[in-house]
Amino acid sequence: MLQTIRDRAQGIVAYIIVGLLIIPFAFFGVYNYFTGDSNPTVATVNGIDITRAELDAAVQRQQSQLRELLGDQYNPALFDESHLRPQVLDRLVDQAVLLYFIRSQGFRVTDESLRSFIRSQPYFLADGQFSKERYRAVLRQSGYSTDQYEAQLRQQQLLRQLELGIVGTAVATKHEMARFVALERQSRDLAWLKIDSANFRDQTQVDAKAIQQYYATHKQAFEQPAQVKVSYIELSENALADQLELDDKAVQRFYEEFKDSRFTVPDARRVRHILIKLPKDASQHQIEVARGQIEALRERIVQGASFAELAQRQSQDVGSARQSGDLGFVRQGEMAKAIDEAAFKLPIGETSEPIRSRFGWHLIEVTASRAGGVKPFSEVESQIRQELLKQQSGKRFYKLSNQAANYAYEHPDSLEPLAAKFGLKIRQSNWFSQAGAKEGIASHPKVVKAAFSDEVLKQGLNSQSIDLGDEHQVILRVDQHKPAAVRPLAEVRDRVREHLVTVGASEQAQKLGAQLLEKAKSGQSLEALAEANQHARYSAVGWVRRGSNKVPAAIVERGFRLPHPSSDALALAGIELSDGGYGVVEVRGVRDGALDKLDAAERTQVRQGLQRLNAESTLQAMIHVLRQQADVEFDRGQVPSGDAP
Amino acid sequence: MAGYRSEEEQIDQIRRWWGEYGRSVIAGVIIALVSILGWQQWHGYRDRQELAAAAAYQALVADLGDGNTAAAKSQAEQLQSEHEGSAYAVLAALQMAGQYVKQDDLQAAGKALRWAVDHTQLPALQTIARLRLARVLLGAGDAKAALQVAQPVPKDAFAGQFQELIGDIHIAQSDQASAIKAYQAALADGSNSQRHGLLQAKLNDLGSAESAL
Repeated sequence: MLQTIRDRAQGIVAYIIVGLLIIPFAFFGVYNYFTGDSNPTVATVNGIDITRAELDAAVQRQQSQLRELLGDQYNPALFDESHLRPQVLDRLVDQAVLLYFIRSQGFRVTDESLRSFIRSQPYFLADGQFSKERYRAVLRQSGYSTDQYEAQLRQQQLLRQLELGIVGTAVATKHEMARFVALERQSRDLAWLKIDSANFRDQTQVDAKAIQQYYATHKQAFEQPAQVKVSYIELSENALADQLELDDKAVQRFYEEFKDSRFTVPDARRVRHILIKLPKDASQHQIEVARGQIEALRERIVQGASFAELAQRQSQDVGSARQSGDLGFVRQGEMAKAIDEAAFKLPIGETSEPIRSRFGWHLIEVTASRAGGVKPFSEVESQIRQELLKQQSGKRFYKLSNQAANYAYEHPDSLEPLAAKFGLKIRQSNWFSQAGAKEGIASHPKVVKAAFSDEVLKQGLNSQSIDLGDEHQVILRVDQHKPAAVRPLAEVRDRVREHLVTVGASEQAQKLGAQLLEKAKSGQSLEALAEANQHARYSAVGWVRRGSNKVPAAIVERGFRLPHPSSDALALAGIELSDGGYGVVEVRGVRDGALDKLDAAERTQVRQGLQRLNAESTLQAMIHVLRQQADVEFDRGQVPSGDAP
Repeated sequence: MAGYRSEEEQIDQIRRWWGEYGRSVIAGVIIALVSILGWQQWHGYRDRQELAAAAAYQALVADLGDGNTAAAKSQAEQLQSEHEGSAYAVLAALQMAGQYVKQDDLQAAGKALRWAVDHTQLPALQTIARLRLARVLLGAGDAKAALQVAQPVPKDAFAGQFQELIGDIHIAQSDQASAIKAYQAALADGSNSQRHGLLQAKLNDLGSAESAL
C-alpha cells in the first residue's frame, strides 16, 4: 500500500497532477500581454487574462509531452482535447494565481541574474561566446521580441523561486523517515483459520418452494433480451463474378488490343558493375587518376581475376558491391546512357572498356540475357479473364445494387419479388440479440442495428440496402421476433438451485466462522479450534510484509488493518472471503521496519520520497488557499475540471 | 453687472487676491512637488531594497548549491538584519532550515524556522513555516513544544497536514486514542490527495480503520 504511494509519485498520475503544474513553469507564454485584443480570453485571474491562444498552446504541449512520455501506450482517445482542455486550463489558472501571489509579495528577478541566465543558454552562443546578434536572430526566428522573451524569462524565474524557495525547501526529518520505514517495511506474524463453504454444500437443503420464491423475487436476473431471426439477400461483386460467363471473343479482343503494350516484354540483360567514384566537379587530374584505377582493375579481370570478387572488394557503389556488383535484370533505358548502350552491345561474360558516367568510371559485365517478345495468348489468358470478370462484375454490381435497393423499397413487404426479379437467393440467419453474433451475417454491427430498427422490427419492412464495404451489400427483413422475456423457471431451475446452495453454504460458513472468532477472542487458540472443528483448517502464514502474495491477499490485507497484539489484548478479526468462505485472522506479532537497516541509497530514496511528498502537499495546499482568495472568472463555454484543488 | 471695469481695477483685484492667497498657492505647489518627489524617491528606494534582497538571496542559494553552508549562513544573517520585512529574508530562513535538516542539525533548523514564523507578514508563508517548525521539533524529540506550535490548526487547505502531524505527535506521546482522532480528521479533510495512502497506513497500523478503501 505504501509502495503504491511511491510508485504513484513517480508514475503517470503524479505526472499529471504535479507535472501539469511544473511543465508550464518551463515555457509559459506571456503572449497575452503583448498580442492584440483579437485574442479572446478563456478565463481571468485577478484581472489578468488567460487567452484562448495560450490555452491552445498549452494543450498541444501537454499532448505532445504525454505522447513522448507514454510512447506506444499513448492512446489519443484518452487524451483528446475535450478531455485535456479543462484540466490544462485549471493548471493555467493555478499558475496565474501563484504568479500573482509571488509578484504581490515583492519577489523580484534581478537584471543581473536574467542576464547571466541568457548568456548561459547554448542557443545564443556563437563560437563559444554569447553573441548579441545571434540572440536577436534566434528570437526573431521563434517569433519573439527581446522584450517578450525577457518578460517570459522573468516570469519563469519567479515561478522557479517559488518552486525552489518555498516548495522545494520542504523538510523530512529522521523521525519522519523512521516512521515511514517502520510502516512500509513492517512485517507481521499472521495465522488464520479457513472455513471453506464447500464443506457445507452437502448439508444445504434447497426445496422447490425456496427456488420458486427466489425466482419470483429475482425475475430481472433471468431476463432474456429480445431476439430476431432475419432473412436476407446478399449482393456481392465476388458472387456476381462467379455467375458471369465471359465471351471468348471478348477475351481474344482484349489480348489483341493490348498485345503490343501490356503483353510485350522488352529485352533485358543482367549486369554487374564496378564503380570508381568521382565528384561532380572533378578536375582533369582526378579523372585521369580514377581512369588509371579502373584500367588496372580491368587488366586484372582480363588476366583472369573474378569480376564478382573485385566488385565486392573494390567497387565504390556500396549498395551493389555487397551483391558482387550485381544490378539485376535491367531494360533498355533504365541506366545511364553510356552504360545502357554498352550493356546491350556487350557479349555475355565479357568485360567492357571503362565507361564514364556522371558518377565516375565503370566497368560492366553482362551475366545473362533475356530476350523480350510478345507473350503468347495461352500465358495471359487467365489473367485477362480475371480482369474482365472484375470489370464486368463491378459494373453489374453497381447497377444491380442500385436497382435492387429501389426494388426492395418499392416492394417493402417481402424479399420474394426482389429475389425473383434478379435471380437472387434468400438466406436465413440464426437467432441473435442486439449484442449481435460471433459469426454469420449478425456479426456485422450494421446488420444488427438495421434488424432492430423501428422500420424493420416494428413496421415489418425490408431494410435499406446495408453497405458492408468491399462491394458487399445486404438487404434484410425480420422473419421472427422474440421480445425480451423472463426465462421460464423450468429453464433456469438448476441455476437457481446452484445459486441457493452456494449462498446457503456460505451462510453456514459465515455463521460457524463468527462463532469461532468469538471463541478465539475469549482465548482459545486457532490451532485448538481447528482441532475441535472438522470444517475449520488452520494455517500459519508466518512473518509477511505488506502486499505479500504468499497467502490470499485479503488475509494479509486484513492482518495489516489490525491493532498490534499486546499482553492483554489479542489481535483478531473475521473476514468474508470472496469464494463464500470465512477466515479468522490473527496477528501474533509485529516487527516494524528499521531505518538503520537500510543502506545509504535506500535511505536517500526514502528521504527524497518524503521530501517530495511534503513539497507536493505544500504546493497543493498553497494553490488551494490562494485560489480561494483569488478572483477567478471563467468565460462562458469553458468548463473548469471538477477536480480543481 | 460689474463686467466692464477698467484694466487698472482688474489688475488691482488680482493683486489683492495674490496678496491674500499667494503664500498658500506657493506652499501648495511646493508641498505637491515635494510629495511627488518623495513618493518617487521612496518607491525607488523600495525597489532598490527589494532588488538588493533578491540578489542577496540568490547569492545564498548559490552558496548552498556549492555546499558552502558557512557562507550561506552569514548571507542569511545579513539578509535578515538588513531586510527584515522582505519575503526573501523568510525564504532565506526556509533555505537554511532545509539545509540544517539535511545535515541533521535540528536545533539550528528549529531556530531558523522560528525566526521565519516570527517575522513573516504573509499568512501562507507563516503557515508553511509553522508546519515545518512543528515537524522539526517533533524530530528533535520535543513533542510537547511541537504540539504547541502545531496548534491552532489553520482553517484552510493546510488543515489536513497539520492534523496528520498532530497525530504523529500523539503517537510519539503514546496517546493512540488522540492520534486516531487526529488522523481521522486529516483523512476527512481530503485536500491533500497525495497523502491519502500514507495516512491510511498510519490509521490501519492502529487497527482503527474497519474498512479499507
